[in-house]
Amino acid sequence: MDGFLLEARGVAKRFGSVQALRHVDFRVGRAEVVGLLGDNGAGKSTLIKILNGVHQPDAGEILWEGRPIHFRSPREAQEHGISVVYQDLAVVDLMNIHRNIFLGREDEVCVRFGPIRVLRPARAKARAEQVLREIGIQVRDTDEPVMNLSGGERQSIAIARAVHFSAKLLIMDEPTSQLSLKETAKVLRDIEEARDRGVSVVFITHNVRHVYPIADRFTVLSHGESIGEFRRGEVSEEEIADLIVRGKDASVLRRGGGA
Amino acid sequence: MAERPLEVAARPGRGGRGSIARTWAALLRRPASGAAVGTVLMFVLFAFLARPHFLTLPSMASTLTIAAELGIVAMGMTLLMIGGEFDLSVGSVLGVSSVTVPWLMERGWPAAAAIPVAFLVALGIGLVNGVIVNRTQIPSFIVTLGGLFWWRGVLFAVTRGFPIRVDQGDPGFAPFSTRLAFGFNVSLFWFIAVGFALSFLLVRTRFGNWVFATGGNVRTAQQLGIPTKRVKLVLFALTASMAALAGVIQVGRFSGVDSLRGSGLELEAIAAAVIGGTRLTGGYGSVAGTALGCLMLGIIQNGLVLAGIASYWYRAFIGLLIVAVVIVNQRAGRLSPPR
Amino acid sequence: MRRMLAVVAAVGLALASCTTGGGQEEAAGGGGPRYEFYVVEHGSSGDPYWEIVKKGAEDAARLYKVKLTWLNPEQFSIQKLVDLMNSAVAANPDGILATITDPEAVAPPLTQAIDQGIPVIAIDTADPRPFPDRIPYLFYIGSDEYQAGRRAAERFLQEGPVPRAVCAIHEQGNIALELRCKGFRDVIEDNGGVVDNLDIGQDPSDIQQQEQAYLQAHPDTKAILTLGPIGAIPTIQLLEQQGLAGQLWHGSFDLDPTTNQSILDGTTLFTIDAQPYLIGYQGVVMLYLYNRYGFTVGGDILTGPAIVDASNVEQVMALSEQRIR
Repeated sequence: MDGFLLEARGVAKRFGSVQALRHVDFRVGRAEVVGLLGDNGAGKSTLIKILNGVHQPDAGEILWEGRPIHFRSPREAQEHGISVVYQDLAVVDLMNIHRNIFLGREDEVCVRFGPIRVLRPARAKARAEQVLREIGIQVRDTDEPVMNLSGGERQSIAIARAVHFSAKLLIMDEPTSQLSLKETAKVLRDIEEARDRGVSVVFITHNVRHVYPIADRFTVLSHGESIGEFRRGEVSEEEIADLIVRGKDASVLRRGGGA
Repeated sequence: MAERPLEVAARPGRGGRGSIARTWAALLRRPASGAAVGTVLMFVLFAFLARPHFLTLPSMASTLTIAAELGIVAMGMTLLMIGGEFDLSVGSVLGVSSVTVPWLMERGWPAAAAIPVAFLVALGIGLVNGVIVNRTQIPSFIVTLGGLFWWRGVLFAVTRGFPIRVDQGDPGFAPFSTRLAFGFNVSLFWFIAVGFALSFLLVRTRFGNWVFATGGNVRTAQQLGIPTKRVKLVLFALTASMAALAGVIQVGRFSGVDSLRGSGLELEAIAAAVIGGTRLTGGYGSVAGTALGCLMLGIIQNGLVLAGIASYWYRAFIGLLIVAVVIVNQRAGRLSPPR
Repeated sequence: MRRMLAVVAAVGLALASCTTGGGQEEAAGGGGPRYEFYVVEHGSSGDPYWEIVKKGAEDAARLYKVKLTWLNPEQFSIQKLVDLMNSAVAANPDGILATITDPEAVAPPLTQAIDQGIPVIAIDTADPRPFPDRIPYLFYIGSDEYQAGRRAAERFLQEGPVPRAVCAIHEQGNIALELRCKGFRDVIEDNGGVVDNLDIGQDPSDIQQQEQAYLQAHPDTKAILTLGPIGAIPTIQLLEQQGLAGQLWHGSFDLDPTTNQSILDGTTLFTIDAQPYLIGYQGVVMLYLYNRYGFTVGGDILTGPAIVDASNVEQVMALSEQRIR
């Protein structure tokens, strides 16, 4: 057990009469891609919102770089290096690429005059191009509004943003579910690029096919419990798919390959 | 089959013109471009219809006086609309904040002391609007519609339906309402100054970036850690303060406040913003576009009078213009965000 | 873009044809110079009173072959009124008829017009300030509210002595109405009577209750003066219901079908008309004569008060239908 980046132990969360999470163990190592899998309602979003500081757990503990931690807001999680990219909320369509990249973290491209932070568009543009080039994303012109880009390009920009702001953990919610095959391949390449730069990635999906080619580790949630954790190669794509659908009855667990 | 080669053949020849066309297309996509074209068209139209009076200094003064007072309010409203909210109460707020000036002067205050109070009143009302919208999540359209009626009622109560007068000669009004040669007013300089300041704030500051993000997609903005509620609060306060500025200018110009001051202003301000290319749904627009929109309304209002056309055509004309502009903007296709 | 150009062009052509085209035709028809006058007034679009003023002005403009441009804010607004005046002055017309709705607010454009040599006549509402402060327009055409109140009192006194009378105000604080009551009171009191002002508000049943309460407390009341249809209509109903018609004299202001009919029925003694048609007609004629021959007059022209009573109500009713009275 060398130091995991993030470790959640026995996390539980109840909303009124609904037990959203019963008992979840979840770990993310350094510079690895983890597939977080589960059917709709398995508890994936709740877990993410707890890791991101939106919700507080009722039970269990969370270790960040080996130390117990308690995020009270997404802002706090962000300050520690956790960055979440939601499927529809990655970027603001009507804003251009470089404004999107520095959105919410403009300090790098601003000059301060008293209480006013003045943007430097030329600098923002130059830095944005550099950021995108670094992880191998090509765009025609960073003045282009994001609405003119494809779904895959938008995800790529969100990835580039996270990498640039030295996120340690990038959580992506269904990043490829609405993309074409070609675009999916490109987003997966960007995720690998991020991992090669030392960023850990949690890839959330209900479809193992989206994540199998790229993940180093898989965790499967079902009815608010983590029911299986595997390294790649330990189980087949079909076995994980079976586990997602059939839960605890699945053959992969009886075979004894689980956590 | 036969047409294909023609297409290909045509391409090399168009290379040089293509880039010009692209630049032109990019220009047309900017929010203010429709308004700029429209302003020029209106100018030419009325220079012809209302010749020879239209191209005279008093006529320009009249146009710019109309545009300036409307513009100060409409440009504030533009930022708010880009931020995804509305303020229908600007007209009533203009009335109720500016009435504090004559009200206090009747009680012995000099204008120079009473004017800052008017701004504080507006600031307070704007903050209340913002807090209610933020806390209750009720659409600002509804909240400020309530404000429109409430503050108009308060103004009626304060004035009892009659104008409250002030001494126009009080030096406190000099910076706001001095009448210059040919009928120009000092409000013109406020229009220009406010225009540049708000445009800079919107396009060249971090706050402006947050305004676009808040109006463009509020959940994404929140996700990226932008304090969207604070952004809206500031925008409501700013919009109301701009209404107060226009109000103070008018107190000096009309030497008093009557109970109907500012009524109907909210729709004219929104019309100017929309004509100027600002989106009703937020996230897109420009201060320059709105300024041109106001200029266009001023040209039309003044031009119709000079052309000897009865004043009721003004409304009809604005109606046509709004729909025409929105159609053009829609057809112009892709939008161009701030650089 | 092409579509917008088309719209603009179409509107432009339409406007061009209805201004310049029409103008040339009429100018060719007339012998003398063709003057261009502007009217700038505060009434909201569709106000029946102003429709009559406009009819008078248009009738005169047709006779004298004058081009008339009518300007008013769609809704009452001092700001719009002043903006319209500014534009009217920039058009440099041969004359302006303007309401002095807010003397200080309208002073800058009107003084500028007068400085430029444009003749300005005040209509409907005068500048009440004395000489050095008054806007130096040529003169005023319209009614005099104080004189109108005096005329009402005199008309009652023609019928017999009035020991006690009521002046019923439906808009508290409206200076024009206060002036009417003041003129009314001055004449009644000079003749040994008493006048009370009664704030009746605008709600018909409230008006009736207030009047009834007053009549019970003061059975010696001989006359009631209402200041417009808002007060007149419920008062007429009350008098008819209580069978007071003829015992309690009723006089009012302005013309409307109910008041006219009540005069015909004998319930209402008279109503006072400011004769708005005459305001518009006279205004255009006076501007024409000033331009053509330099004529002016020695003082304000009072178009009212004019009494409408049983002697002339039938003629007035016929003219009302033609929007002349």
